[in-house]
Order: sequence, then structure tokens, then C-alpha cells
Amino acid sequence: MQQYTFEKYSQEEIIEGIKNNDSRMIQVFYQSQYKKIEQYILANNGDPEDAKDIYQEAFVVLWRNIKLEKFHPENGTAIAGYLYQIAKNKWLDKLRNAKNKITVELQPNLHEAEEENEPETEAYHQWVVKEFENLGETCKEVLKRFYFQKESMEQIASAFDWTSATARNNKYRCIQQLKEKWKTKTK
Amino acid sequence: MNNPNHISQEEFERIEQYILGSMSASEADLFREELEQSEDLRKKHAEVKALISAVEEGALRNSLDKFHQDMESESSGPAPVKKLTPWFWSAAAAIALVIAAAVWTLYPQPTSHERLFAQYFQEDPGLITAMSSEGQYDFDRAMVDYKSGNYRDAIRRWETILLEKPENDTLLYFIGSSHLALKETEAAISYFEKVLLLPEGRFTEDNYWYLGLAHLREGRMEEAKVNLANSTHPLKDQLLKTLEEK
Repeated sequence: MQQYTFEKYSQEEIIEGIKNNDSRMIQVFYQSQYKKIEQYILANNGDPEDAKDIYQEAFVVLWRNIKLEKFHPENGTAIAGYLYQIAKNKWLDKLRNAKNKITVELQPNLHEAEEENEPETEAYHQWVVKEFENLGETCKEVLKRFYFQKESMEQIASAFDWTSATARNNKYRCIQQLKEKWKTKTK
Repeated sequence: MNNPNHISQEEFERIEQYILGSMSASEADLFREELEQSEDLRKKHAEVKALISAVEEGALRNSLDKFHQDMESESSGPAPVKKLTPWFWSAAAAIALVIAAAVWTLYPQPTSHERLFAQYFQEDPGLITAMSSEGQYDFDRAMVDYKSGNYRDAIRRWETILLEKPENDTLLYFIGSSHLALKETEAAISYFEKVLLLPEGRFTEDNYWYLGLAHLREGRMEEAKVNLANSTHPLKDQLLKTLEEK
């Protein structure tokens, strides 16, 4: 039996929305789960800034695992529990690392799906993710619309009042900016 | 990856189309062959793939930050207003009065039936969908649009399905509901009336309620009463009583 679980949406709709990067659905789910995790972190020696960071890290892992079809819900609300568990583990890891760097794996199965890339590839990935924020507003908006919201070049062109050709060229230039920065960094 | 080869725009876009699945099947086959043969292309493919996936994640994080800000500004309420001197307030009040008087005389007020409609209208919350079975997918996708308030997209998607299933009460009822939510009352009525012609089903009662409300909004009180009376909505008696008193 399915239920309305997250505002007006069922878990299936949320999962489908996350797969398609549906902003509305991601926002509903993001906002519906934050308070619980914030409470946990505040009750365990964290501040609101920690809560936000940990929650977003956990959310990205959830998003990635859903896209890679690594998340298989066992019941109608499993996705909320899964996100909570990832956040909790991340927070416990952080507390442990802060304390003498003793690491004890509590639930190794939740960690394994996270980072499988080669260390070099992973470093590059993390760098690009971070550098994205430092791009100009126009580049951020163009790349977000194309790679995240999956808009067509025509849609992007009309949003910026460009021709399609200009939109394509600008997208390529924004990507080039990231590549150039990487080159400078690794020289 | 330390020394990425230069990738021209044309080549970049071709690799990207392959990765994003926007190539035709024959182009993709050709590309796959080239990939097998060329070490250089394999390297470039790996680089573009890594770049795209990182940019996608960067964009997600950027969105999450915005969602977070929205959430915080909602929960902290409106920003505090700076203290202003008393003369400012009396002047402001005087100006506001003049504006209000002007608006009152210049613009038509909502009629009492429109007000009643607004008071009683709450759109149908929609159906829960599974987003899985193939035949249902298009319907479900439209339902998600409907629940997200994208009524125009929902209507467009459902209309396409309606071409093949012109007598489907669920489709007719929800297309009508979408029009009603968009305040396109006459269009809504035409769909709700089509539902009335079909054998009774799970939407019959609700269909009467919304058909009644649509007529109410247009000021057709007799049609409104007849349809409302046929519904089983919990607020039906209250609304009918209000209408009788008019």
C-alpha cells in the first residue's frame, strides 16, 4: 500500500524526481527531512552550521546512490531512514576523527557505496565540484540548466535571449574555464 | 588527467552527446567503434565524463544551498522593520488611505459568489502514483505535474492520453480539475459534464462538488445548487445553507 509520505508525494515519486533532477521534488524532500537531522546533530555536540554541512553531504550521497540504482527501498518510507542513517554515520565519523583519529566502522555497508573512484579521479571530481561555485553567475546558470536541469540549448538560449549558437559557445567557454583553472592548478 | 589534451568544441559536444544519450543509435554505434580503436578518444571520453558528473553535482549543491536559504528565511519569519519616526507613519497612513480609496473606486470588487467559491474551493489533492508500470507512466508523470501546481503541463500530457481514451473518467475529471485550478471555469465545466455522462465511478461524487463550485463561480446559482446537492462533500450542507439564505 502506498502512502503520501512527503507532503503530497510518495516515495516512488520522490525517487523518480531525484533521478530526473526535478528541482521541485528535491526541494520538498530536502526540506522535509532537515529538522530531524538537525535535531540529532545539535543534540550531539554540533552547531547549526555542522548540521547543514553534514546534511548536504548526506543528501549528495543519497542522490548519487539513487542515480546509480544502489538504493533499494524496503518500505514506503525507507528513503528517509536511509538519509538519516548516512547523515548520522557522517557525523559520528567526524566526531571520531576529531577525537584522536580513532576510526571504528559502525555500519560499513553504508560507506562502501560512496567513493569507489580512483583517488586521483576522486580528487579531480571534488575539485571541480568545489570550483563550480567560483564560476561567474552566468556560467553557473548555463551549466546548471544544461547539466542539472537537462534543459535544451534552445530553452537556455531563450532564457538568456541568446541565439542557440551563442548558448552552445558560452556553455563550451564555461567548461573551458574550469579546465583552464585545473591546468593552472596542476602546473 | 594532469595534462588534458585540448578538446575542440565540436569534439566535446560529440562526446557529450554520447554520454548524455542524445545521439541517434547509429551515431552511437559508430562512436563506440571509434572508442574501441582510439586510445586518445578513450582518454577524452573519460575526461568529459568526469567533468560532466562533477558539474552536475556542483549544480546540485548550488541548488541545495538555495533550498536551505529558503527554508531558513521561511522559518525565521519576515525581517525586522527599522524604527521610523512618528511623522513618517502618519504620512504613510494618509497616503495609504488615498491609494485604498482610489483602488476601491477604480477596480471591481469580487462578487459574493466569487468570494464563496474561493472560500470553499480546495483543489483535489490528486492521486498517488507508482511511477513504474510502463503503460501508466505518462499518466503518472502528469499527475506529478498536477500535484506540483504545473496544471498547464498536466493538461497537455493528459490531453495526449485522452485522444486514445476519450471516455476515461479519471482523465476527464483531472483535466477538468486542472482547468478549475487555473480559474478556467467554462473549460472545467465542459470536462466535468462529460464525466456525468459516463457510468458512475470513483469520481462521481467529487465531480458533482467541483461542477457545482464551478457554476457557483460563474454566478449560476441554480446549476450550482443542483450539482452540490448530488455530492457527498462534508461541507455540502453548510454551503447549500449559505446559498439558500441569499
